[in-house]
Amino acid sequence: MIEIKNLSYKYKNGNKVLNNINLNINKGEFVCIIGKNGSGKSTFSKLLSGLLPFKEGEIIVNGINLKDKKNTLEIRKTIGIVFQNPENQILFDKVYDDIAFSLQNLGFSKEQISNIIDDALNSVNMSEYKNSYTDTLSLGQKQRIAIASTLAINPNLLILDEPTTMLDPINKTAIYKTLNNLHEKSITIIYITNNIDEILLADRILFLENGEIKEDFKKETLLNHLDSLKDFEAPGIISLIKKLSNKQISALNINDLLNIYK
Amino acid sequence: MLNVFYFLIFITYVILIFLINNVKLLILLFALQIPFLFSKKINFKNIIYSMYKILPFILLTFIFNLFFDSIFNSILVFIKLIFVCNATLIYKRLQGTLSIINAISTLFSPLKIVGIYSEDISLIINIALTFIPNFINEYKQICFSLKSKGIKNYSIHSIKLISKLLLTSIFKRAEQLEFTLKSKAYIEK
Repeated sequence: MIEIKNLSYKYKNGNKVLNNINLNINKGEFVCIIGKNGSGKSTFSKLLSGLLPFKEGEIIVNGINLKDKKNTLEIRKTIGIVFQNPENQILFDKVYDDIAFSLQNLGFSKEQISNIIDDALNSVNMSEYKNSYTDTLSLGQKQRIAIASTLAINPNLLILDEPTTMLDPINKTAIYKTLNNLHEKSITIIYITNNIDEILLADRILFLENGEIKEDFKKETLLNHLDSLKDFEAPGIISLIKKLSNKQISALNINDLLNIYK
Repeated sequence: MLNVFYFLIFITYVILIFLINNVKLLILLFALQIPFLFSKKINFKNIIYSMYKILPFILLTFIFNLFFDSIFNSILVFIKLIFVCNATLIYKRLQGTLSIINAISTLFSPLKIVGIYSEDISLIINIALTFIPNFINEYKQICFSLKSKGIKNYSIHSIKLISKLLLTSIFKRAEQLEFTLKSKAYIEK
């Protein structure tokens, strides 16, 4: 599904953000990329979504080379991205208009647009807000509208760049549920975060540090990789796992614990 | 094409309001708005909410007219502006922003010949309008932050700081906006 070869990126001021990244992500995988501030996560997400042009390396998504400018429309049909702040992602004052804008740009007819919007809003449990004004929505609802807007284009790959940073726990849970539902529908998801508890949402975890992938492991093997994540504050479930593993308590199976969390 | 037709009706209606000085005819024009107010469930509160930001400018126009014209004409201009604002609210509720953008784009599409892309212009207007509340919030946040640091409001120093921070925020927003437009499959002409 996604093939990244020797990807490096530096800003115009010469600051190197990503260094020689090689990665393969399969269809339907839920991958979480964790890293501290300045580790290159957001730049990586923008490169992966084809929003940022690059020179070094290659990114191929579903056979589409993101470097080729001729593929712009195909890229937009294939990859959807949700940003950290929904206020930046909503361009119109009405929910319907905001979702319809991208569909109109992709050449869908009015009838198709209306049906697609119904489905997209349904998938984030926001159907009743179809004709609402965006300024009347809470931040969590706006984020779900941003996700619906992205889902409307029916992407094969959904990238979420710290989508819950600005949300309260209730809205965070709503987003997690939405993502779980999408994962069950076999949409490939790349979730970028600096919240260590959120890595448990994913099947596979990538640890990004100084622009390089330091760790790449499956969730089931999390206990073997806790040391590499030691610098992250762990207030929740990960902290519990760490304590249990330090005390060598094996009464609780790690997979059972993760299933309870999910 | 229907949205273009509605847009032209709206523009004609607004022009008529400005051209007609006969009170009875003006009342008749306003009466045309009433069925739409009911059909779109627009109540008095909605009307006031949509108008309160522009009301100071309408009052200012009224005061200017008082100085340079008769009281009757000043009141007439005031009422006409209120009617236009109300008509705009109804039109926006009936059509929606995207439909209005499309109507403007279709209507001004011949300007492409001289290199002016009407879609871009109408989109820029819409984005600017949508982002105004965000900038007002940003301004308030900056003011609170400066106040918490003990900087007095409306001093030269605070105005300089507010301008600097607001400009930085605008540039950041503009950059983010570029990414958002690209992510929504908008392709620059």
